[in-house]
Amino acid sequence: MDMKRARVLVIEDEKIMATFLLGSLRRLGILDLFSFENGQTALREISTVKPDLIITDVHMQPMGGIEFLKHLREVADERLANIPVIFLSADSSASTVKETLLLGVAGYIVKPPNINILAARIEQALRGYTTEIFD
Amino acid sequence: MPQTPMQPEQKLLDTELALSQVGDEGVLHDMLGMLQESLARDVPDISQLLARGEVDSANRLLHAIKGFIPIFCNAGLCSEVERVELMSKPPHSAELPVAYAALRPRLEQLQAEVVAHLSGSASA
Repeated sequence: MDMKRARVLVIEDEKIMATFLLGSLRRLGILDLFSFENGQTALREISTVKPDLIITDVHMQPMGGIEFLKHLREVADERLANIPVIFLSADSSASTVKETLLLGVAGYIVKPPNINILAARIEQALRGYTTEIFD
Repeated sequence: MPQTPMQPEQKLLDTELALSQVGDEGVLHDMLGMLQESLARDVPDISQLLARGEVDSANRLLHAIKGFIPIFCNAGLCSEVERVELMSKPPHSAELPVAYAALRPRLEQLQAEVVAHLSGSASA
């Protein structure tokens, strides 16, 4: 799928980072954008939005990205349950990165995202690439 | 005895770096407004949270600052924020209040630079 035709859902509770990320996505030509402030709201709206890709923060209240992804994978609609997810976080600790990668995510980007890395991860995700972890 | 001349403080806000990352002057202007609001609110809040022993709450604010500050600032301040944020993670470092007290004036300097930049661009 052409990145510029993708509908992307951003889940980020920090205003500066959300603005930066949405601006970066627009610079990449991605204009079909939705944004929510936490995983709980995003989960409630996911069947309406039907995104092709989700980019989510990890640490949010009341529902963070990891809990959001676990709920998403249990959604009855298989297409929604398998939407590729990229994590974006200032938390680069090995334990958090490993926990998310074990959930089968399409990428993990450390904040703030470099636009070239963001573009590469989005292209990979839309091609069905899943990041794997090797011990 | 000759006095050592005062060295001008190094500027913390790097608008060229920020613009190269954000890519749009209008968006950057909006983000600087958000940065000013965030620093004005969160920098004193972190001190109060630490004084009350609410380190996890202080960590959430420091974590957010750590995430966005590389958009606007040079590596020196980013490293300082990263170091203090790491100290606020469990197991919390006993040195955290002292470390944050040293960091706080730098964040206040950044806030002042943001205010000055926004005032300058408003009057230009």
